[in-house]
Amino acid sequence: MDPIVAAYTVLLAVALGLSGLVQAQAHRRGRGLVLAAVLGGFVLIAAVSALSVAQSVLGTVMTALAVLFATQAAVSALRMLWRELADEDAPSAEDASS
Amino acid sequence: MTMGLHIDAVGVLALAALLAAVSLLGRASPALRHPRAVFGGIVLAMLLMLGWQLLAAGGLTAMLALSMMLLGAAATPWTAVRRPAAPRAGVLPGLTQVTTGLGLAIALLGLTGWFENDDSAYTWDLRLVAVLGVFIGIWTFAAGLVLWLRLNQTLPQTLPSARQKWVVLALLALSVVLGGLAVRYPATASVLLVVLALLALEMGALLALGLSMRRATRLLEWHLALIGAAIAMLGYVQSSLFLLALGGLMTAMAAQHVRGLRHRR
Repeated sequence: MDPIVAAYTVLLAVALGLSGLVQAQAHRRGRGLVLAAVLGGFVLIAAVSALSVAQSVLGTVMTALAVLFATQAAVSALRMLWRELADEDAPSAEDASS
Repeated sequence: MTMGLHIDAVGVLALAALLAAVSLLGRASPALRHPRAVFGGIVLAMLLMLGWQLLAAGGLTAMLALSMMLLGAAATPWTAVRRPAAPRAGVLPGLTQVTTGLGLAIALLGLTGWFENDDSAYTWDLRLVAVLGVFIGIWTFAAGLVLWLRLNQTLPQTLPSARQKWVVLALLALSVVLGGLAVRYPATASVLLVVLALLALEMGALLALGLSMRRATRLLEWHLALIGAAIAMLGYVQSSLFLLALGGLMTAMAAQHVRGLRHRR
């Protein structure tokens, strides 16, 4: 890949991330981190892609394991987000009493 | 080059869906009545990309990938911690699981990049990406695992010592030198890579052990930012604009969170 194209793409993505368009609001402590973790789960796509072009037995074994661990991380991240949304839907007893 | 084309063919749709979802979920918009539908959009984007990848791979490779994914999903622990060390740990237990898995996956992909290519076609930038991938991956894995064990009270609660910081800094400097040597002299790099991996393991464990649990989330924020950088580097190797954009976005989001915390203090 052309390094210049890569640098421009990363710079634009970082600028978008820092601009506030995709950041969580300040009072939602942890939501931004959970969303970042969910984005990290997409490393699974890179792992499957690497598995499909692996040329040796060693490469196939390592990328297959990468798929396994990436799936674990992706499922954990999605589960965290699901719980976060569920908690928001059901206010705690503390909030209800106040 | 074909790898990137396969990912980017549907990646642009998935990226648009992800940007919309992250933007909607990050804001407390009263108009957002069905946040779970937005969550479904994220899952759909991931499934769309995975389906496309599996179709492109085809045959035995697709079966192997599918088996590993089912195995990975089945092996994911459903309870984050047995006996949480901090009663209000928040997202910390889940984050330790995510960073442990992501770290291992990144390290394995970095190692694959190193061993799959022959020296003749292996330019210095690809070697640098492989070395950085292994280092970031193992460092993150060790930090996530040790924090998870501390949260479970399997490891004792420890306090940071004054000297520990300097030891970690010395290890980091040594790792940079060894990594530079591995990139510059690929013929001797395999041994250097093993030493580098051990140093990253030690550094990650030391940092996570010598940390009060109140600052653990901040450490994981930095590791998420590093993982984002590693994903962007993977995108460079796989010629995928989707992975480059996703990695940059993830790094910025994690860094933004760290900055927000610092401003509130």
